[in-house]
Amino acid sequence: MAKKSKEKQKSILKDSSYTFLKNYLNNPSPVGFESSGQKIWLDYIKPYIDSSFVDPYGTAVGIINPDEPFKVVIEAHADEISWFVNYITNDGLIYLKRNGGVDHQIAPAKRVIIHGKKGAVKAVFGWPAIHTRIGGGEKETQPKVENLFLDTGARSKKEVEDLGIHIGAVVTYEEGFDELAYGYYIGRAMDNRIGGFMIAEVARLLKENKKKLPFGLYVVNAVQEEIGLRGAEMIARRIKPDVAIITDVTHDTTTPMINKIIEGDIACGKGPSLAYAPAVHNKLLQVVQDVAAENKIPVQLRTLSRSTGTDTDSFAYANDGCPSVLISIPLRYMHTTVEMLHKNDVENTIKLMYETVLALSPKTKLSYL
Amino acid sequence: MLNNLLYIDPGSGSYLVQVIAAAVLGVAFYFKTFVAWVKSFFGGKKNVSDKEEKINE
Repeated sequence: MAKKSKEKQKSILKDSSYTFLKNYLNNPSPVGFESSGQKIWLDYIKPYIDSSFVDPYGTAVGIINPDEPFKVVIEAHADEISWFVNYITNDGLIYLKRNGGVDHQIAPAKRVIIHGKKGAVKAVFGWPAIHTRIGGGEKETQPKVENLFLDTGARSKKEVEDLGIHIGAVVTYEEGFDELAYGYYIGRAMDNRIGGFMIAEVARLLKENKKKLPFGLYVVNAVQEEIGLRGAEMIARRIKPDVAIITDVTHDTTTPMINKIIEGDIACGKGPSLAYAPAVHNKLLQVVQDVAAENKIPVQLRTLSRSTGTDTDSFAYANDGCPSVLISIPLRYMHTTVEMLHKNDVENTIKLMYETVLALSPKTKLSYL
Repeated sequence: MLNNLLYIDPGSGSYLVQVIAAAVLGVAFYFKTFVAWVKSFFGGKKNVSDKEEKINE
């Protein structure tokens, strides 16, 4: 008990932080329809920023020192992988299209919410029973987009439509936040609601610790990352930042069926991951590594090449080129409904971003030559 | 005399059956591979995953 209270004292997170995290995670925020999540996020961050705006497609930005000419971005993405209603049969079953990289292999028998014109409608991914499935052994039918369907209880197309469900309605999974033993959190859409949470906590810590920054800090929660980094692409052009610090999730590669020779060696609980990649600015990465060393924050390295698969690419190659760095939090079971991460990594990633922001100035030398 | 011509001893008979079975299967597999090659050469149906966009983190 004494040990537990000591651990709690050392935490940089407050009870209100956790309340925000749970609300934010449990709220659906599918790609292209992120507004309700953005409202929760902006409401939380507003006491810690000087001004804010939302761009035409819904990317939310909180600004500290909006009048400073030198601009630093800390960024996460707000959207969540989901499905679109694509076709309704005469029997009232619903076929789908992906909205982002949602995983067909985990879909059978999942509970979902269809966001229709008349509000949320519960449904399930139907799947034939083990007794009745056609085929067997290795030839057993595998789930794929073309054979996955939703069952709402409606038995005709009209009954489906009477529920307010239409072609183009988005579908999200039902599972929300939960805790496991030994400091692990699980939930749907930790990717990248945890990023939005962490950048909001950086803003909170700056305000509560009365830190003054020599530049404008833009806390960006971008939309539409999961379908091609589009929100970041738009907002990078609008803000035209001088430096960008991106946070997203990365794969814990220590679970079965992952090849470390290909994916590298990253584990939950061992600190944030820093990526080497052409889009990642070497000098800025060195600044972050120095900050991590000075503050005794553990980090794990990985390599990426042509693409980081994150908003880092959009910021780095925006405008005339923006020095960008990627700070990732290790995550197990990405793009499933049980995305799992460790709370120590959450705190260390927040600390690393916070200390990096404090270490930066308009005079920080980032020139390659 | 006629009966003698129809006689095939057991050793030669099973050998002949093996040769015929191998020939039939060999031809079948050759054409299966050839048809698959022709299909892929002329842009036959790709896997679903090939058509889908890159999955971001």
